Amino acid sequence: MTEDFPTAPDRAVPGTSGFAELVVAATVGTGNRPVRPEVVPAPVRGHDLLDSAALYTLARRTQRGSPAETLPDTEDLAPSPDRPEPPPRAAALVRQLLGERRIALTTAVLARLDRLEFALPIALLPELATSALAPGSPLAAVLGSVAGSRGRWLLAAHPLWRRLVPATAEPVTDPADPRWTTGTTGERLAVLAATRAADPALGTKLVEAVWESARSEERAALLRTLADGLADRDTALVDRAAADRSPRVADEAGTLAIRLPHSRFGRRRIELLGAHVRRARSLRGRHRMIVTTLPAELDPGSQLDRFTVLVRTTALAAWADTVGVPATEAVRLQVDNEPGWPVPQLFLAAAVAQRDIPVLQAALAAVDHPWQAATSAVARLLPAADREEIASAALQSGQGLGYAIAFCVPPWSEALAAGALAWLAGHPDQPVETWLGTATGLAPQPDRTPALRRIAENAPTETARRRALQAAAWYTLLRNLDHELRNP
Amino acid sequence: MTAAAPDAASATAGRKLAGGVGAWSDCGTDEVLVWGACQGSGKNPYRVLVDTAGPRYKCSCPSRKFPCKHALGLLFLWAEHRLPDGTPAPEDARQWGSRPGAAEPAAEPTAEQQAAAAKRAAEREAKVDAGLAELDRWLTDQVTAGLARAWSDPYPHFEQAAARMIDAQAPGIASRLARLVAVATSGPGWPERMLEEFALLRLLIRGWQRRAALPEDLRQTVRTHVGFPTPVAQVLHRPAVRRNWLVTGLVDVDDPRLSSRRVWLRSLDEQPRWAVVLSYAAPGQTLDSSLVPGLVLDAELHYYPGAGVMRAAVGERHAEHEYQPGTTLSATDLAEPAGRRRDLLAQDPWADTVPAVLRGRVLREGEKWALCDESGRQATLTGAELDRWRLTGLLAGRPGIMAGEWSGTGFRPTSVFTADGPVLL
Repeated sequence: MTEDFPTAPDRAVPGTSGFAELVVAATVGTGNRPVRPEVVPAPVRGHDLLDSAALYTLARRTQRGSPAETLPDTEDLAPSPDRPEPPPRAAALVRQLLGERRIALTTAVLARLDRLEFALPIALLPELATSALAPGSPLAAVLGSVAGSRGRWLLAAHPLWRRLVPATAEPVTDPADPRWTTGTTGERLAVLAATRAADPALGTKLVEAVWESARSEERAALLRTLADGLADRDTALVDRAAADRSPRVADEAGTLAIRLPHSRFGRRRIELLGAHVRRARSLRGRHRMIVTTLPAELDPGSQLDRFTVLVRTTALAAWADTVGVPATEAVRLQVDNEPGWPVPQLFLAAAVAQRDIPVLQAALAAVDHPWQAATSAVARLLPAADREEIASAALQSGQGLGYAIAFCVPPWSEALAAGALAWLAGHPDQPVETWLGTATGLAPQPDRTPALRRIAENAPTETARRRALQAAAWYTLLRNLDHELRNP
Repeated sequence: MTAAAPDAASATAGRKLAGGVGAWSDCGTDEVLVWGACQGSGKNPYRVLVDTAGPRYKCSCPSRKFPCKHALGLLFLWAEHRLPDGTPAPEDARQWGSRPGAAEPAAEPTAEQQAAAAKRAAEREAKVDAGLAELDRWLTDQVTAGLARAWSDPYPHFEQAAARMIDAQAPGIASRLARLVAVATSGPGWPERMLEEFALLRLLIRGWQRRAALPEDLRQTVRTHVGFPTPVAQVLHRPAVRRNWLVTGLVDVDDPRLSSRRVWLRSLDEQPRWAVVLSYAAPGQTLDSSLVPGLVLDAELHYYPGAGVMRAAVGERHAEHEYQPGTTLSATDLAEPAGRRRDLLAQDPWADTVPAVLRGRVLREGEKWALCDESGRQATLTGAELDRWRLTGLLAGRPGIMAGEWSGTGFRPTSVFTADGPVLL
């Protein structure tokens, strides 16, 4: 076999078979398997293997640069931006703050951009999207929104980032709409959520229309979506679901049935409540007490368990008619002969499960230390003002800023901010996260920089001083960002 | 250096310190002054200064030996060309170097100094001769025994060969050998890639061995690839090329021993000329950030010697301003850099990369990426994955103008020229 061989780069002809022969011989070792001269072209034959390889390499390298295969030329244009990117000075501040690489600070920056309806500069999105995928990352909740329409286009194109794109859809007006009848489960859930928000009764009809044909996983997911806007109109569907052959569906239905006093499950629970719990007065008539008539053979622990289940699985709305006292007042009552039963805590758990905000507020007011009931589930239901009040109470009791930082959305009220700074002035030796949380929580006005610097000046340790100064720097950057965003 | 040591123990200690590169920070040289900080057992590192013209030494350590082991260690690093050159001397080094009574760095060397320099140069060349002869035998042994032998444990295999080239004062060759670890672990097709690298090493060895017969430019190119640097002071005396230069992009290479940055510049005229400015930083130092994408400089560049060389040093800067968005920036299709790369390889067979400003669209199918120009020609899109996604986002699915590096593996984007200005990826 002969082939033209390059003796100068301008006559280069990629010779694959000759070079492949050299590769095989070199890989195995010429001591084990020499180069076969008949495969190597004449100009190279007789040269040392490496010299021959050098000649081939010079020719081969000039040919490179194109991929081995051609990708299909499919057009995928991004949508027009639905919100602007920040103006240049603000964008520079965003980059500077994101460069600090602190999750709390990053989340605060993104929240500010989102609140003022700016889109995150798209060049910053890939790295943040990767960070947002970490389990429990607070970035995931805000990134999809602040990305804007173009950013969401980019996120949706990536196999992992697409889960950061919130499922949204336009509501339908007719159960026969093809987006409902032929959509995937994900598409249906998005349509149902949008429709339920616009027209709760239509949301119920949509689920009824597909109930028979949906698989059990989808039926359970559809029921979960009905939790928002749940009302008596949903009773028939929930009763039907409670008898479902799938335990998962029946459990979801049970959770909803608790909140529906006219459902079969709901009615049974109310009957049980009425049978075992009633209002009573004390001997002197000053206190109203709940009296339980649980089976006497039960030990005290079991009695408490039964009472707990009763409270949790009975519609809180039924207490007024059934027991004679609304649940919002029952939270403050003792159980006869059982002064140690944690009545407020039991009602608190029930209120969270049943999304009953008035009872939740009453239960928190009844406990000694409401911040101890601090869970994200509780915080999600409480209005912002309630969370701030609990945070302030925690501060006054010397509990620190943990609740405020975890559950109070920035910007904090003036009262909470003043309380936070006063507490830090007395306890400046705090971890970086506390200082960072404070810097992100404080509102841009009034300017708190002097207060932070005073804390730094009076700090008893060098570490506290540095951290306070760092917090002042972060706060200033965030203030500047706010100013640049509001005054482009 | 050994002769300068007050005793054998100091020389040994200095040699040991030179081997512990992690102990050194904030180092550099302008070929006359040498500076660095060496971490001892205390909290603060010792500040070490050497004036090679004197020679004079200064160290903040409490040792009474003169020069101390830290000064000797720093000198060993300097002698082995393991310090970043071309960086401006810090204030303390400049002030100490200009003290009355010190030898003037820019003064004419004496006959004695010239003879000493010539002797050092000859000794180095002899070391390189011997080192490359040994390397050539090693390369032949590898293909005789089989490249597959190295695949099972490539790291010590090639690191040892690289270390021998450091000893032979051929750091350019050492770097090429160290990179072979990545080639050995690069997946299917690695033997082909490895043989190509071996072939290039063989070619470089042959070039070195026949250097006297080579044209001057090519001879200089061979010397540079072997690891003989040209002092920046010398480069700045070479002819100046004054143009309006646009900084099109930059690439940082992080390395625990020495980070580097290459900044690409293109002249803004009808027959654009390209240049690359390199800077280095030892651990603890920051890279030069005075050249950022989008900067337009009216400046004089001085090219390093060699065939097809794009490396340049920035001389006098006359003016600078920001690139104005909306200004027409000429971009080419994919054929243009491919042609320029072929031309470069004809002059410098060991080169690989040319810069480019291209107009194209991003295509993606699964994990495969390509850049497509208006003629439909495609090239593999390389570089960090996040950079490719940033590019995709910035172009929004449409054709756009981007700068980057074209090499044998494809196109690596470094910046995008958007309607709002350049964005570094």
